[in-house]
Amino acid sequence: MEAMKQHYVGPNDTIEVEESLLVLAPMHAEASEKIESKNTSFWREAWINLRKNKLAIAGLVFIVGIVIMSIIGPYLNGGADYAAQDLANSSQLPNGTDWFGTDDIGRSLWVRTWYGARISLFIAVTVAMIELAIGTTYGGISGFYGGTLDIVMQRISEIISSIPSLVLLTLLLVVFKPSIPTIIFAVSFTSWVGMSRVVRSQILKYKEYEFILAARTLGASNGRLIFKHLVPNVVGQLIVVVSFSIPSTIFFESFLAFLGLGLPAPLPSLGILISDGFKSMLLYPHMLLIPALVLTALMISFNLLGNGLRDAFDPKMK
Amino acid sequence: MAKEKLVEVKNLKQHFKVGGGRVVKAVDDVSFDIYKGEVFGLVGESGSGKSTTGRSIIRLYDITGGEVKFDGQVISGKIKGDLKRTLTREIQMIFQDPYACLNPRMKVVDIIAEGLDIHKLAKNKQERLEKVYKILEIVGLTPDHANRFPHEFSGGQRQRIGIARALITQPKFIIADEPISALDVSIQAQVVNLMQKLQKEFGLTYLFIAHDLSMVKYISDRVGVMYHGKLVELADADELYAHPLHPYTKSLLSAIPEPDPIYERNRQRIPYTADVHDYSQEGPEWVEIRPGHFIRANKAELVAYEKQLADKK
Repeated sequence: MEAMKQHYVGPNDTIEVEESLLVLAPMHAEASEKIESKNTSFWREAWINLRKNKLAIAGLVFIVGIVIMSIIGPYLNGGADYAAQDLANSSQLPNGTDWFGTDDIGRSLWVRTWYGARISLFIAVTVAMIELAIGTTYGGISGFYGGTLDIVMQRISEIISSIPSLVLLTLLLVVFKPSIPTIIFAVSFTSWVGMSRVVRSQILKYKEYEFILAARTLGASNGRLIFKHLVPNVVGQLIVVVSFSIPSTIFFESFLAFLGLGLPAPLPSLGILISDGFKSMLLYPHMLLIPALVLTALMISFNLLGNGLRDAFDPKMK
Repeated sequence: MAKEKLVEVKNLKQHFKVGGGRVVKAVDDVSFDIYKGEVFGLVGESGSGKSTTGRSIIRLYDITGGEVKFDGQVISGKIKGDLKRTLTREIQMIFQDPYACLNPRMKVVDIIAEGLDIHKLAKNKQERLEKVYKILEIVGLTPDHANRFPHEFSGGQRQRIGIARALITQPKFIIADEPISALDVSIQAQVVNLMQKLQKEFGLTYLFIAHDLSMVKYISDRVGVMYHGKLVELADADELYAHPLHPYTKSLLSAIPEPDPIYERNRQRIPYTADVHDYSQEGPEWVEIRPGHFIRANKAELVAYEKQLADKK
């Protein structure tokens, strides 16, 4: 092991250095300040990060596919009428004329599946937008102004969120007729609380950042602080919450339909189709399987995309 | 003294309620003046209230008691909107954390021009851009940095962007809240030199808050030492470093590292606890022991300090 011994230069050793070898390295002030990397904005960087995530992109592709099909799908296979009955051709298996087969009163399952996806998505997206509007405003005000106002607002939102939405919904559907607006109202009545909590916590976090203090010392108004400084920093989080809220609303709507609290016949939604198909599951499993597959694909895709977005917007959270 | 006072802080108190009825006296009865064109250093350990003092002066906090004057006008408490607008132009702040002090979603040009936008100091887009380019050049950056986002810059560059943002409204007084403590040592010198250059060019007055004593000595004309929310000693920088009187100041000075291994090996640190003061008989007061040299002490201590000064001379 003697050969491995290394030689260290101690504080008392002197080292001979040839003076002529010492040359000052050239220094360019301009060059040292130059940034070689490409100019990347926040959105571009998020997109680049997202693109690396294969699963999230697969989710995105599926979602886009299902959205396109829910728009144009019903027109591709015969008539677009989801209520048209053809009793002579009831309970058909998937075949050349009816691509997904027909249900027990002869309605085209192809038309009904895509139309149902359209309604489910419409409800989910509308609920998400309502959540976004109410939740952002409420959470933003509560977090930004703080103090007593914050305490009062938080207690109110706690009370609202403690109402079981199922009980509320049952009551609402007893009073009003079940319809798309009633369901949207009933679901969004309590679900905006989650969004407002996310916004509030984000605002509370950023409010103490030095760039907010800097803007204050420059005399920025509250409006400027909120819209120029706080909101742009929270947008990423909001998109993530929305991408998780959509599948949960779709799921909740299906659950209601299964309980018999869904949309009135003959309106289809994914939940209603599943609940109808369940009744003849043993004889005609395709009636259950097809809408269930679309629902599953939609849910998984949104969750994968949501996960991908969360990582893309905030790589540190991985 | 013929020097003109720019900032006068009188009996400044900043207390925070922390729940459970407890009150933290972050700044407690602090008085000092800052003269036009000088660098006033404020040192002390973490939590001694030096940053809070700076933030109270610039009105980020509503003060609990006392008074702050700027250019002869009272600027603490309730003031008129006009004066507020003037103040937000004339007093600016440089922050500690170069990573948190720039909005990550804004381009550098918009960050720097914020003061112009708020106070409508640029007539049109062209003028706004020109002003930003000019200030970028002053702080040693280039116009093509304007369209980039903060995350693309190094700590030193970001700090200079923060300085550019503070300078654009042409302030008279800048509060630098530990502007260099988050930076690499080589970059610290760069930023401090830039600040000194700007001071000469624009006739600025600084309140320089820091805990790095060697840097404070280098840049400051006068230095105040804070401990637990109170100012314990204040003097010209040279005087304070040559004849420290208060035991806390002595303790701080004994902790300055020297680039000398033999000195460092034999360093004698002077520990400090508040127990060395016996204030049971008589409380301390803020006294001018020599012209321009203030200290917080009671009568018994003053006698001892006088003796120390006499012995040294």
